[in-house]
Amino acid sequence: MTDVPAPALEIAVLSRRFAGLFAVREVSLSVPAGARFGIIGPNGAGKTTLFNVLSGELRPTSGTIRMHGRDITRLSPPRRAALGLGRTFQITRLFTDLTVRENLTLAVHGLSRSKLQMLRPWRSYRKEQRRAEELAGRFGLGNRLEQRPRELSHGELRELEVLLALAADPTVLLLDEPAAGLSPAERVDIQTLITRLPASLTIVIIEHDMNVLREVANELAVLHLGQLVTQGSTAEVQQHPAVREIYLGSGTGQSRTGE
Amino acid sequence: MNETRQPLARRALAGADVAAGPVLALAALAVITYFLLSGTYLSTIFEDVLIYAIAAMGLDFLGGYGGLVSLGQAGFLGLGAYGVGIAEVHGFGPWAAVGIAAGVVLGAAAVTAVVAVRVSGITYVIITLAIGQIMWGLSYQWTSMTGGDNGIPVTTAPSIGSFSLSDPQTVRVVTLVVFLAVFAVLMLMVRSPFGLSLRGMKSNERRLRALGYRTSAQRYLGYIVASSAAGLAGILYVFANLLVSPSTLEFSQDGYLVLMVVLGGLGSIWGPVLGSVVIVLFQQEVSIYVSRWQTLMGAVFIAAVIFTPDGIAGLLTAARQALHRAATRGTGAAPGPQQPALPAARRGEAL
Repeated sequence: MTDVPAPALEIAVLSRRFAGLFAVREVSLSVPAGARFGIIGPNGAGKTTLFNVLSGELRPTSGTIRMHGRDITRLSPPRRAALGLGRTFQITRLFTDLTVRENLTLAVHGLSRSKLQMLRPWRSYRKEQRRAEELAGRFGLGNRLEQRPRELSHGELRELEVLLALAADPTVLLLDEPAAGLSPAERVDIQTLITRLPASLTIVIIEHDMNVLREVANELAVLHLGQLVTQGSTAEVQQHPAVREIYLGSGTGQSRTGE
Repeated sequence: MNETRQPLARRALAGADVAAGPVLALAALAVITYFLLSGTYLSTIFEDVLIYAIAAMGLDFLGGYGGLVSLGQAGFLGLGAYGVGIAEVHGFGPWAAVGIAAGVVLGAAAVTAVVAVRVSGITYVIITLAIGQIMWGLSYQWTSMTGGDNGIPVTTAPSIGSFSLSDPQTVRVVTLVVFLAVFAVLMLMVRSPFGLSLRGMKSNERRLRALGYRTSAQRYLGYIVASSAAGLAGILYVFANLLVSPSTLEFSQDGYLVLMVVLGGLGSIWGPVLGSVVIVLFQQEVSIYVSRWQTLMGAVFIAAVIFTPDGIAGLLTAARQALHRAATRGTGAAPGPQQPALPAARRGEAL
């Protein structure tokens, strides 16, 4: 053993098969602690499946996942969350029947024993309520606390999605296309939030928009048809011939590179 | 507009806005208490109303907030009642019988929960139906234990000095006290972090799990709470009726409990109490005058589902919000107490 700290995430020959099709095929990746790690690839490349396997919603067909050196391959999503793994969803998954305050309150109580407390009103937990309000304030959702998700704009929904994942102070954060469908101004908001997150937090981000990735990621991995094509610094990956072919050759891909 | 009258009218509206909920609740409680203790035939009817309301509120706790509607709730009511009866037949005193019944209900809930919490949606309905039907089948066919079709008469009731549950009026007072206690506890629970997590589970379980909630734990605890309410209702039931038989927990009883909750308003706790008033009055009053009362009740139920999908509680909450809007119009205050820009009632938060 060496005294080098274990990578935040270490994925070894991970595969996930649906019927006969490999959605993720023998992917091995190592994400060092504190990295800003981008994953790119065309639609259907297996990016979201990879996230679902990492967060525990899907079991891998084969392979292992380690977080901070600990094997989490067989753990359930709530166990992984308790170990410091947070994630967002590509299609926003909010509690649509609950107000913004209630959404954030659920997230804040997520990793505390208080979530099983039955005989004290949640509104009386002052520390947790201050935390929920502080989170909302980061995105200017402070005056939206009593509203429900259907009253929010698309950008605000995306922001709330990210805040839910941040509420429990994860050590590894998986962001699934946080900027999808946002206006340029909202993209800048999300970018700013991500770049301001503590350096100790490891971030893995799926994103199509190269402009966003250039701002927030310092390392990129490229997935195509479930397989890892290449991995390296953002600049290196952009120059990689296979990447240029996948993106530039796929017609719609050109605008996604942001060139 | 008359400038002197308007502020006065507005002040009256504002007063009504603040007082409407508590006043209505106290009025309903006063009416129920009056009939309950009137010593007329209505006393037994309202005794039934409160006993079924306790079980229905428990059903609403997990069904209305957690999205897990049980069709086996009457099984636990029957279990509480049979627990007392069977213990007394085996020579236990009435207090011990009550303790045994409570223990049996908790034990059965803890065991059946292991199966029930693995599923959700319609599968949960079917599993709880099966659990309820197994209990009914046992009550019907395990004759050496349950007396089969004849049921078990309960002859001795707990007492301390002059306070004795063999006195019908005392049973009614105790029923009212237990009802109020269960109501208060459930209202507290739905406002707790746990209650919020049940609503989160109903809204988006996958997301809740990603936030660190082991949702099977939420279901398990919610199931125990809901079943305990039914068991408590069953213990009161047996001292009110002095008899428990398979008809206490047959399938139609499960159906009536679900009707009470849906008609009253899912997800409000107090709505099912009103649902219980309506259903029990139909069973015991309307049935005197209309021989096809079940057909009539079916028609009322269909009309209710179409015209007020959120039940009686939904109607009252909508009226409450309309009053609030009228009272705050033009004052620059917030447009609604709980849910500003929305016309539809958010069930069970006002009043």
